[in-house]
Amino acid sequence: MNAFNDLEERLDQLGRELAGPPCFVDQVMADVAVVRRPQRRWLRAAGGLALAASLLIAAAIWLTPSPSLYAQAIAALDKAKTVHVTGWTSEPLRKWPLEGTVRQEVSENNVPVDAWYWNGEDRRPRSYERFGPVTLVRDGAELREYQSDVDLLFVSKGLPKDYVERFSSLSAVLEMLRKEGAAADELETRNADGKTIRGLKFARGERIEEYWFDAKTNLPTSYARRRLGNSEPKTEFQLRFAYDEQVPAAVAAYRPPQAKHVRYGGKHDDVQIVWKQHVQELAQRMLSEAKGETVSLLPRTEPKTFSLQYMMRTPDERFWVVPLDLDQYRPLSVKDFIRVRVSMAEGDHALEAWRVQKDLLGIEFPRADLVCEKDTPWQQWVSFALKSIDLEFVDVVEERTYWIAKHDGRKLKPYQQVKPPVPYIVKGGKEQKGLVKPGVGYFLRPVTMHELLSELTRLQNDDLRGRGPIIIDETGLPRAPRNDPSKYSTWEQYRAAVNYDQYLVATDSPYFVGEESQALAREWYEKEFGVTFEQEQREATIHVVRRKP
Amino acid sequence: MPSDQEVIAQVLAGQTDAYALLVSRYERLARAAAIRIVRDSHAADDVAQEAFVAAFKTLSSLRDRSSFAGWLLGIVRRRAATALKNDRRRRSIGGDLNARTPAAAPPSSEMLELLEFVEQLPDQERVVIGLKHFQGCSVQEIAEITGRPVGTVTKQLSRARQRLHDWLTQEHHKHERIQRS
Repeated sequence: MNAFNDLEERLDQLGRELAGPPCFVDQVMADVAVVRRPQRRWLRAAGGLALAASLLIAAAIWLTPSPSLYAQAIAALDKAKTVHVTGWTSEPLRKWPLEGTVRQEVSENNVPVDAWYWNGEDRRPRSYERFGPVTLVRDGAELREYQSDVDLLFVSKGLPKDYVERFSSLSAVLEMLRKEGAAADELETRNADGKTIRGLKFARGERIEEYWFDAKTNLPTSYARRRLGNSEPKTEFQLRFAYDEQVPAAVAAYRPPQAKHVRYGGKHDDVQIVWKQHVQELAQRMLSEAKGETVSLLPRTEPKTFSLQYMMRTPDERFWVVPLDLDQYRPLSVKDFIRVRVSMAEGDHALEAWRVQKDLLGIEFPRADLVCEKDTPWQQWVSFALKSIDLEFVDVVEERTYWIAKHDGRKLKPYQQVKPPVPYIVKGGKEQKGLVKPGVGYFLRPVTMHELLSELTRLQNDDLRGRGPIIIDETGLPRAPRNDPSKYSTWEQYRAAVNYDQYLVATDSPYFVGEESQALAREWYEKEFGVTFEQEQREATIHVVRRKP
Repeated sequence: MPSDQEVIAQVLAGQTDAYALLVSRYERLARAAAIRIVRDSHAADDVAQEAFVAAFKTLSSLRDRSSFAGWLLGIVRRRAATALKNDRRRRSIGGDLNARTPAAAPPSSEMLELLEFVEQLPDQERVVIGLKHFQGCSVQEIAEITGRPVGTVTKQLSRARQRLHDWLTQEHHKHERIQRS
């Protein structure tokens, strides 16, 4: 074979290696189909899909009995140059919702709503939404929310295409509700403002929603949401929709003012910097406020929340900071505390070693940061944190079920040939990676045997009942050396140095959660790797979280 | 076989399903351009997919429709660079906590070496190499797709192979020298 033949052979081989998933063209065309549908402009224009307007449109997709009526409504929306929403709400929406007690204060009163959606230059989706003291503007990917009652500016950045995804997910939620048997009734046609309108009522639990459409154009005209309580039903939203009105110059030109407090979120670059600044401040507070303490709980002063926060050392390397908080929307529950903050590492406080009584799982920590000296034993800081909410943990020794993983010695297949037992969920011709059910891959990357077995243990114990199997790896299959950050500054360096790919055994890690997945897991491991699990009872130490006596 | 120009005209006239033909023609070339940057086959799939959709959205802005492939690959490269940047940032954010979540498998080193050289080819040569070797098109088919005479395509293929051969030979000699020293 001459040199050119060899080159051609290598190029052909390269072509074969470049083959992607067989459904690649279908996937692209499914996305293209979304782009080319006439609702595209509306979807992009309706950047403020957090607003109930989005619910209305999403509901229309589902509720409108005839697909052609829906198509007409979408076609009408596509022609609309602007959408103007007015009305009032008792639940003003805040993208950054947890500053102080303001939300609680205003929720008792109805606040006016004034919202505009239109396309700016270069067809960039723009919107302006005013809910009483909160004014939220979007310009393409940029979001700025000014809360005048607390003089706070929230700055976030995302991708405009996310609106489409968010819209799709809303539709998916509604579809799911329909499957669950939520009731939808067509309301009697009536006249309003010289138009014939027809309505749909949608009931779910205590919530009742009414959607009204112009019978002629099929455009949405109004939306109302009520909640049934012990007394009279309370209206939470009352909105009206108008089209093709001129966007007022003041609305188009609105820019939030400089604010005393600034918060960052979404994909905004400064999210990380904000958290690091906070950690730096905590180090100073620890030295000034908690002199000599090994562990201390420092409440959030403003109070401050973060969209990105994680355990990290202070810049002087003296302390560890453990955020007792989940994100800007949710405080940290006991369940998340154990899963996310405590049991990250393997060893004696791994997830499978914990048991939390069911009624304690949802207890939340007041938003705060736990700061401890870097060598503080985990038992000490965990006890300290639990004590702050009147809980404790005690160790008990009891018989636990162990699965001893054994390998029959067969040569493993190339990892590319080993797929999870259940394919990715496909919707609209596209694989919905990240959606899971038992047996579906959810890491979305190739994995080693060690990772597979660790994840199997974790998923089998994710309910924190402390009763799932503990898996011991006695397969004898080679295991990648630990990534030593002092030797490798990046993952790529480590991967190249240890030839990480030689340890990969499967294209993805299947979601084997709960007891009902165990049979499927056993079958898959045996078939794909010749790995079986021998069951044994052994003594194990369980950390039981309970109320303090 | 319709040329790229003809397919684009069909797509812009409303026959959007015809776009599938362009996707199938250039999917491997797009993946090649992405994989060279992101070094991860899953991420490359995502980048290629996004790039095709982005190209579809702005297809009407393409002035020279015969240069679709080169234009598409430019989009792929920019998106791949962004994806890589975001991925690095995500990893640095995760720090210690995400130490156990590596990315997907990289392509083999031999493949990457050859990809590097293919990517260094002039646009037109890279496209004909991609159509010939990645998509398995004949010279006649490439001529129809690109709207160029068969003789031109043959020359472009020949030049591209010569360049690749020379670069690979130089690289081989360089390795030998390093090993000897």
